Amino acid sequence: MNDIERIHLHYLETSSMISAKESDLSLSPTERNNWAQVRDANDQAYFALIFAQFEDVVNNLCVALVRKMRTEPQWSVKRSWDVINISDLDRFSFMNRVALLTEKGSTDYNDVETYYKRRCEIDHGKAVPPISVTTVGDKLFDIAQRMRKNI
Amino acid sequence: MQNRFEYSQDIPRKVLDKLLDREPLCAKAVFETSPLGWTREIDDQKRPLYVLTKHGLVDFRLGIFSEDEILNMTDEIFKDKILIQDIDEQRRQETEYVVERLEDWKNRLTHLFTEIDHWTPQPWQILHSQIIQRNEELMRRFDVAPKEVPILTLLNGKQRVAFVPSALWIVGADGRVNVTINARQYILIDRRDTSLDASRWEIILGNQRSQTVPFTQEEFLSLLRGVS
Repeated sequence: MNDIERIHLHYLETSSMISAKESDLSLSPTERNNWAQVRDANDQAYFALIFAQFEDVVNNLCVALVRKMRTEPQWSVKRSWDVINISDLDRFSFMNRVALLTEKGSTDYNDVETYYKRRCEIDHGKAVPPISVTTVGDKLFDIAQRMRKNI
Repeated sequence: MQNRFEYSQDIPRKVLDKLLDREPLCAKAVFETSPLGWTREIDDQKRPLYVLTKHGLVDFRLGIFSEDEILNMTDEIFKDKILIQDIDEQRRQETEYVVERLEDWKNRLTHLFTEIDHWTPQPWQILHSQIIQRNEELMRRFDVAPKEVPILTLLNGKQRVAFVPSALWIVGADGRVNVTINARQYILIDRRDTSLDASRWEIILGNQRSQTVPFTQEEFLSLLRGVS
């Protein structure tokens, strides 16, 4: 998530400009609602950018995990990892890749799943509620840190 | 888990037999697995009516049938009548939930602004007012009209600080308030874990990676000093 700080700074700049309009009490409720919708689109765009960074981390960590497990001295441990082709890791669904790095059903796994569903909804042009990009970004960053420790 | 059925004692045998036959139909028609009950009532013309309720609550009526309907109605029409009623009931409950959440949002904002009011030092002037809230997606879906929500403005000569609610339903937070301090924008978010918890307001400062900090009196005064 190398670029997350840069993306977040850009987000804050654009979000501030939109917030100023959204909170401008001299505008009519309709105008403010229109600006709120602009803000939603802005939130979605930056959320997608931040999630893409997180996906990249997950992919890299999965590769690192497979490589590490293949070096296990015990064949009974390493045999299942030997058959995984690193270049084919993207054949695993994204949530299965996440499950390699954090326990399925854990809070981290469930949070990622919730955000992943939102990301897919955005991809498919569905209406999603506004997003607190900062808190979601923070959470994904923290989850990525914990995933690193799980390798 | 299966639906559990209860029958009041005053249901005549021939009606009861028919209702017992139709248990699977009733179970298919309702959305959630819940205790279902059949009771007998009498209408204005002293004719018996048979009422299907959910959770044993008289408010959750899924269907009212005459004796003739119970005995002679086709299975398909019988099921549809329950299904339509259940959809209406689900919608009523969800609408109620949206209204309750909006009321709770208004209360949280009032509480927050009262607290800021107490924190604000002299010679700042405090103005409490209202605006029409944003018409959010859930409100549009359940035809809940936007209402007024509080806003807070602080004035000190030409300096101005404004707290304007932005949205309630947000991914990653339980409500957002836009904060304008002169020309600078900040975001205040409620990071409580569930709607049963007390508010946990945090402010996004955006000057470091760990971007949110608890919105305390000290933090507020420090922001205010920034404009003084």
